[in-house]
This record gives sequence, C-alpha cells and structure tokens, in this order.
Amino acid sequence: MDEVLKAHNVSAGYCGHRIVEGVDLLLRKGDVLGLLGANGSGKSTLIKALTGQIRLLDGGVEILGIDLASRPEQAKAGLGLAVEPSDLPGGLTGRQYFELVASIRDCPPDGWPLPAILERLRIEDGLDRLISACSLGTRAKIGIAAALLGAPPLLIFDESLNGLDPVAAWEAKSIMTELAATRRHAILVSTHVVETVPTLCTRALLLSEGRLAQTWTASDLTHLPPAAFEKSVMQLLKRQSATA
Amino acid sequence: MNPRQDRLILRLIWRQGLNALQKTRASTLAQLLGLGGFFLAYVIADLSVGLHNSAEKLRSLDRFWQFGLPAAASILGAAFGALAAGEAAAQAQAPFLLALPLSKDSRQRAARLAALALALPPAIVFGLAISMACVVIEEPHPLARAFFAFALFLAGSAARIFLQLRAAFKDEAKAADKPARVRGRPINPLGRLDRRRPARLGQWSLSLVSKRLVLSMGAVLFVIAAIASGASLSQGHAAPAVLAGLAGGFLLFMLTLRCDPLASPALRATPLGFFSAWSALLRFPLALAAGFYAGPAAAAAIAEPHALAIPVGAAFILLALCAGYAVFAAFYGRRPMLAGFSYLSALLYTAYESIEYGRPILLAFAGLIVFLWSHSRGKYRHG
Repeated sequence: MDEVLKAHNVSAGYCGHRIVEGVDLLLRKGDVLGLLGANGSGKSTLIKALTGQIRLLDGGVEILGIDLASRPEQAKAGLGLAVEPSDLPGGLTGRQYFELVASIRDCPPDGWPLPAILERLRIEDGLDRLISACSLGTRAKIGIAAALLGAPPLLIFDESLNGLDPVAAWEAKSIMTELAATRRHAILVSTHVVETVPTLCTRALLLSEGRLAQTWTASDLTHLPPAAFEKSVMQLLKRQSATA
Repeated sequence: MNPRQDRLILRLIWRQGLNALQKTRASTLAQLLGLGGFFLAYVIADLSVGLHNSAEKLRSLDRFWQFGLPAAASILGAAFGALAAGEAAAQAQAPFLLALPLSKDSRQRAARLAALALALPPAIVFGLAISMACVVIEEPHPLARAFFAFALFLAGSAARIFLQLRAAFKDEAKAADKPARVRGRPINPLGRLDRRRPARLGQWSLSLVSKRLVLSMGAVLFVIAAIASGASLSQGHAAPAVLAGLAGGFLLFMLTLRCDPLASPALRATPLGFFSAWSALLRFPLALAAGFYAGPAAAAAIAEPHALAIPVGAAFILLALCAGYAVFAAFYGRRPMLAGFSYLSALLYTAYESIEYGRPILLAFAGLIVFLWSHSRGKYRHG
C-alpha cells in the first residue's frame, strides 16, 4: 500500500474551540510534505490531531489504512513522531529513552532505518547523560533519532530542525531525503525555515487560521527557484497578517 | 524591593486562575457549580443531621476538643500549606522569572506571601465549618472554637509554607550547580528490573518522585512497622502489625506512584496501549508496597498462626487500595497531590456513607473507579 497518511476533512482544537478546520491530506511513500504557516496558524494542532494526541472534532485520520480514532494503538504503530525537546523524559538518559521506544516498537535499541544515525546526528557523547541535563540541540537530536527507531512508515517532525547546529540540521535533512528516496517512508515536516522546503520537500502547503491556504506540488517546487519560493511564501504570509 | 514585587507571584496565580476560568466553557462551569453545589449541600445537610444526632456524645469528648481538633487543624493546615507552597514555588522558580532582574530573596518573599494568601481561604472555611458544627451540637463558645481552629490551621499552613519554600529555594541553588555535577552515567536504581516491555518506564516515573520525601517517610514508616510488629509478637495479636503494614505499604505506594508519563506525547504518540503503560507504571510502587507489607505480615502470621486469614485478607485490601489510587493517579496525571487528596476524601466519604447505606455506596464507589479509568484511557488514546 502506497498511501501512508490520509486525513479527511480534519477539524481539531481545544475545549470545543476549533483551531484547525476542514484539512485534507494524503501522503504516499516517498513524499516529503512541508507544512508552513505563521505562529498560531494551527500547524502543531494539526500534527497533534494527526498523531492522536487530541480528539478530532470532525473528519478522520487513517495511517496505513487504519483508522486512528477506532484503533489508535495499531495506527500509531506506523507512526514515528519526533517529540518536542520539552516533552522528552528528562529523568532518563538518551540511551534509556531509545530502549523505551525500541521496546514499545518491538525493535532492537539500534533499529534505525539507516546505518550510523547516532554518528551522523552527533549524539553518541550525550547518550549517557540525563536528557534534562542535555542542551536543546542534543534533546532535539534525541527526539529525531527516537522517531526513526523501528523504521515507521510515517515520520512526523514538528519544528524539529529548530535548535540544531548547522551540521546536525544538514544531516537531519539528508536523513529525511534518503529515507524518502527508499520509498518506504512518507515524511511530514513542519518548519519555519522556508528556504529548506524547496530542497527537502516534494510538496508543501501553507496553513492559515487553521485552513489550507496554499499548496505547492512537486513540479511547483522543482520549477520555482528557492528564492522565488521563499518570496512567494513571505508575500502570502504578509497578505494574510494584513487581512487578519 | 518594590512592594509591588512582593505581590508578584500572587498576581500571577490570580491572573492564571482568572484566565483558566474564562477558558472554561459556560456549560462545564454550570455543570460544576450545579452538581458541586448540590453535592456540597447534600454533604452539609447529611453531616448536620449526623452531628445533631450525636451532639451529646460529641460535647462530652474532652480529649477531642483538647487534642484531637487542634491536631487535626494543624495537620490539615500543613497539608494545604504544602499544596500552596508547591504552587507558589513552581511559579517563583519559573524560567521566565529566573531570567528577570529579581533577587532570590525577593522571589522567595513573593512566593511566601502568595502561599499564605492561598492558605487563608481554606483556613477561613475550616474555622467557619467548626463554628457551624459547634452551633449544631450546641457546644458552648462556638466563636472561640472557630477562631482557635482557624488560628491552628493557619499556623500549620504557615509553618509548612515556611519550611517547604526554604527547602525549595535552597535546592534551587543546588540545581544551578547541577550541570557541572552531572557527569558520567547517572545512577539507575531499577537497573535490570525495568527491562520488560515497556522498558525504562519505571525509571522515568521514579525520576519524578522526591527521593528525600520517600526516604524520610519510608524510615518513619519502617520504625512504626517494626514497633507494631514487636507489639504483635509480644502480645500474640496479628492486628497491630497488619495495620501498620497495610497503612505503610499503601502510603509508600502513594508516594512512589507517578503517572505523569501517561500525559506525555513521548508515550501517547507510540503504539503502546493505555493498560500496558498504566500497569508498567505500577510495577515498582506495587513491589515496594508488597515488600514493605511482607515484614509486618510475617510478624502477624507468627504472632497468630491460626489466624492467617488476617494478613492474607489485608494483603487483598492493600492491593484493592493501591489499585483504586492508581486509577485516581492516572486520572489526575501530573497532579499527584490532588489525586491523593481526592482518593482519600472519596475513601473516607464512602466509608462514612456505607455505614448508613451499605452496599449501594460501595457499588457507587466502584462505578466512580470504572468511570475514572475509562476517562483516563480515553484521554490517553485520543486526548
């Protein structure tokens, strides 16, 4: 099956208040979808809804054809989320956190889809330190590495490139590209680093006030020079903040 | 220091409270006020009738008025003081405040003022409740009793607040040194015990427990259990050892169980089911409670060999008490103090009402446990 994530008319929010409304998404193996939007546009809420962390107010989400609402455990078996640094278990070391994730995913603690992930992300030295004592960048790398454990077909990175040093950010992007190229994974990346999108992603979409405001296909991203893409996103964002 | 800064933490807590109230849906608020009001009115009416019926007996309990009430007021005050101090310290040590040009002393002073202000309303309510109870049972000098109870409650709170905040701010200095001291491999107290799927969850949960509190409480409970076991062995009665083992085991379970990981996306976005995660969190606290109970239970079995049913039955009671608390702890997630208060209140109220109404109340309590469990499961799975 090529379809990894299918979201239909997703609406989600908090305390009955809708933050995201009527979002449709389809991710196939090999896709790298860039999720763009201003602060408060609903990117993180959408990711929380897609990963089963908040209840949907409308619509449905399927991961590998399994309905997330009715069979959450089975659906989440196909999902790897890079947890935000602040949400990582500070009382464990990086190595122990990998052991926890690996035991849940029934894979060895070094069951990464590509070789030398720890070396490439340069986190071997910090692995035996408590996560709470690690720097923001190291914690972000631990979150990324843990998401890859067990090679889940759907990989979701919510602003995970923030706080990484240039080498680690470059390696993280290379890992994503290589994984997508294997056509065994689909990747969703939410980011504010707009210039990353044309080189990393095969598709992109812009979220504004919880709705899809603009989409870019693979051919758009290929044909638009990165600077022109960045400019078009900025113009859209400025226009939206002016009308808001 | 600017006197406005003395009220800084109090203002923060007040505004956060107001914001939370504004965020709450009107229907939820109406439900809370309606159901809560109804329940409160019922409890007050029920207690008034109970007090009125036993008025004469209560008036004659000299020891209660001389020692029981003052002790209860101080202990309850200290418990509320701990809650207030915890909240105030959390606010005063928030990273955004640490980054502002405020001295440690000024933050501590502001936290103390806020905690005392938080402890004042419960002290007033406690004093009023005592005065009303005195009026109902026609005890002379209700105002004096109320004032005395209020003052002791507040003194208990103030003492606890002072001590807890002093310790919290002392630890803050130690925490600042921590990055320099955390080198090499941290101690892993559970080691191989925590290798079963899901591995390391016990250690995660244990890292959230205050080791100092558990060690000091554990030492006190151990001494009490040893004395009770000695009493059982010398008198040939199982009861003292069993009771000490039961209470101690349960308290240790409450102190060491932390269900915070159930609220974390690090678990909730994985294919781990609620029951597996929840039961893995219980492993270590349950083993600790069982280990603690084993000593006094063995002493009870030796003291009264023909009455083995007592320690065995109490072991099942301990298991039931722990399971009930584990459900409350899962429901309250990151607020174990609230879980403890709610569970103990629910237990006491169930015990009180079941004397009058019997089995239906026990069934209602079981229903509450099932409801909380299924709500927690739903929250874990879908948010």
